[in-house]
Amino acid sequence: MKTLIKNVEMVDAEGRRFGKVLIEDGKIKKVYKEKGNVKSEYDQEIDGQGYLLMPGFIDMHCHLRDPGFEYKETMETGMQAALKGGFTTLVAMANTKPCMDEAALVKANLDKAKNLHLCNLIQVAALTKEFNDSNLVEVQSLRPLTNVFSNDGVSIVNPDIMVAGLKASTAHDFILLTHCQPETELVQRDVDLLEEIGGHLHICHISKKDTLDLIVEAKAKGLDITCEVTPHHIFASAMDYKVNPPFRTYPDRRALIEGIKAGIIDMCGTDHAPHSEADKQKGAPGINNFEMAFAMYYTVFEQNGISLEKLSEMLSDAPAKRLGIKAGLIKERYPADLVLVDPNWEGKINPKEFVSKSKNNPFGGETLKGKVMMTMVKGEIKYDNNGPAL
Amino acid sequence: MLKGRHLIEPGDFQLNEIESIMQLADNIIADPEGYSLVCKGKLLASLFYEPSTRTRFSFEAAMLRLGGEIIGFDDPNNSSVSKGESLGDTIRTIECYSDIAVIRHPREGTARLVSKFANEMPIINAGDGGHEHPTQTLTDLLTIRKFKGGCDNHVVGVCGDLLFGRTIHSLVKTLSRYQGIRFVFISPTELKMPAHILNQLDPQTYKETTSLDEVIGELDILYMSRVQRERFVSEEEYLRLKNYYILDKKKMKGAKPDMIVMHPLPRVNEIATEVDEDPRAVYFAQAKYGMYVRMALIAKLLGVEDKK
Repeated sequence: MKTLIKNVEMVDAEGRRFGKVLIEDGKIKKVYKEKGNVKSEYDQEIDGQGYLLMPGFIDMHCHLRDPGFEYKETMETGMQAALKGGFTTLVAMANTKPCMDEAALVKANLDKAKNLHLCNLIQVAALTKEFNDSNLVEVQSLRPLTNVFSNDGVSIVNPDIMVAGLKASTAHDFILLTHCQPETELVQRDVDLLEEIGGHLHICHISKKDTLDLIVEAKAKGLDITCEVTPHHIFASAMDYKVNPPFRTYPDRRALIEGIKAGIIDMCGTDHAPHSEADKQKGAPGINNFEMAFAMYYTVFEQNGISLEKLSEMLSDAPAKRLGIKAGLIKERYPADLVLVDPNWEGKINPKEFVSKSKNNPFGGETLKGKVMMTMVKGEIKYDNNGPAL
Repeated sequence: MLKGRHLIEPGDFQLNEIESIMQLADNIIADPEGYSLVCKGKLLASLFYEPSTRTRFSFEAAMLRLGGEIIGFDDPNNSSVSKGESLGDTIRTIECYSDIAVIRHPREGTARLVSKFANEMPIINAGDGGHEHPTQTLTDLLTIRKFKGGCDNHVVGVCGDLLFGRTIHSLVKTLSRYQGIRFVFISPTELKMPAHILNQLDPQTYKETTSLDEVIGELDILYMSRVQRERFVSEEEYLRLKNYYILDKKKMKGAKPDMIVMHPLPRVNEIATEVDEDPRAVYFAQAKYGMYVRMALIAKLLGVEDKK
C-alpha cells in the first residue's frame, strides 16, 4: 500500500516546509519539495490543503488503566482516545492492577497492544515489587521488554530504593521516571543522587518554579536528566479540581511557560488519567487528557508566541530521542506515524463526547485552538475526523 | 553595565543599554582603527549547530576587526557534540578557554538554556530556530539610526509575511519601546501579525492593511520581507496578490523622498532589482552595519570599549 499526502505544510522540530510525503510499507518513503515530481505510483491520495502535517505525538506519560481498572479505561478505549488526540506512541504507566512488576504482565500488555493495531505501546515496568518501597523488581527479565521503569502514581520515598534504581538504570541502560511529591524536595534529593552515582533520570509532570531551577542546575552539570509538563499545569492555575501534582499558583504556571521557552523543559506529556465519575467524586486525582491535550498546548503556545515547531519538538522529537526510538520527525525511512491538524480550528471540546471511557476533564468550557483531523500509524489511517476510518 | 551579560533576546537589554551599543557602533564606524586592538588576546567561541554562513561571517569579521581570535565549529558533526556530549558539558568545557561565545542552534530556547549553563562567559544568541535573532534587531536599529538620525518618532511600515517573520517580530517589539513610533502592518490576511505581538502594542499605535500602494506615502521606513508562494490557498491567489507585496520603481514613486527601504536579506523577488539604485534602498548598507553593531556588542559584553 502506497499513500501520497499532497499539498501540505509539514511542521516538525526541524522546521516548516511545503511538499508531499510518499508512504510505503508503513514508512515515510520520500519527502518531496513542493515542486518535486512524484514518479512512483500510489494507491491512495490525501489532500492536506489548509492543514499541517506533523509527526505523530509521543506521550511520555499516560495511564491506560488496563488491566485492573477497565471500568475507567481499557487499552482499546484509551488508544482510540489517544488517536483522536493525535498520539501514536504511548508510554503507559505501570500502576495497573496488578502493577507491572513482572515480565509476564508487561509481555501480556505488549501482546494486547499488538493485537489491537492502534497505537504503538511502550509499557513502563514498575521499579519495585507491588510498588512497595523496599524491593526492586527483577530488572534483568523485564529489560528486554521495556527501557522505561517507574512507580509513577507514588513517590519513591526510600532513598535506598532511589539509589538502587539509578544504579540499575546505568547497569541495564534504562530510563527511570520519577513521580516526586513533595515535588521540590524529592527532585532535589534525586538530582543530588544522580550527581553522586549517575544514571538516566526523567522527572514526571513538573509543576513548580523551584523545580525548574533545580533542573537547570542539573543540566548545567551535564547530568542525564529530562523532564515533562502536562497540558493542565501550563493552561490553568489555582483550579479547584483534584489532580496530582495539584494545580499550582499563577507564578508557577508562568514559570513553566518560561521554562518551555528557555529550553529547560524537554517534553509535553499528557498524564492522561481517566477516572469514573464515582471515583472522581471519591477524590481520585487526575484529568482525562488525550482528546484535549493538543488543543490545550497549541492554545497556550500560540498565546505566548512559542512556535509549533517547538511544540512538535516537545510532543514528538524529544520523547523519541529520549526513548531511543527512530520516530518523531517527518523524514525518509522514519515510521509513517503522522497527524494532520487544522491550526485554524477554534472551539470547545466537550468531554461528554470523548471516546475515552471516562469523561473527567474540567476544561469543556474553554475555547481552544487547533484540531486533530487525521491520525496515521505505520501508514494506516487510524482516526479520521470526517468519519470512522477503521 | 553590559559587561558579562548575555544577549538572548532584545528584551534582555534596557533601551539605554541598547542605545549605548549604538553609540559605541557610531564611534567604531567613525574610527575603526582606534578599535582594531581592543579585543587583543580575547577568544570568541563560535558554536554553530546549524550552518548560517552570513551570520557566522558577520560575527567572525567583527571579532577579527576588534583584534580578537576565533575558535569554533560550523558543523556539529565535526565536534565532540556528535559523540553525544551534553550541552551542559560542551559549554563548561568551552568556558575554560573562551571569553565570549556566540551560539546558533536549530532548536528554540537552546540559547537561553546555554546562557543558564555559563558561569561568567557572555553568550550571544545568533538565532535559535524560528525564535529570536537579536543581533539582526540591533543591526536594524543601527541602520535606522544612521539613516534617520535616531529611532524615535517614525512611521514604520512592515510588509510581507508578518505571521512567521521572526526578525520582524523582534524588531517590532523593540521599536515599540521607543518614543512616537507608529506601525503600519501590510500583509495578506493569511499572514497578518499574530495576536501575541499585537497584544503587546498600544492599539493606538498601529494599523493593519492589505495594500502597500495605499499607505506607502505615509511611511518613514519600509521594512520588507518575503512572502512565500506556498502560503496562499492557490496559485491563482498567489499570482493575484503577489504584486501587492512586491516593491518596484512604480511603487517607490508614491513614497516620501526620505523614506528608507530595509530588508534582512537574502531577498528573493519581493524587491525588484531596479529598486537597488534608488538611494532610499539601504538594505546593502544594513548588512555592513550588521558587522559594526556586532563589534560594538562584543566589546560591550567583554567590557573593552575604550580605544587602544
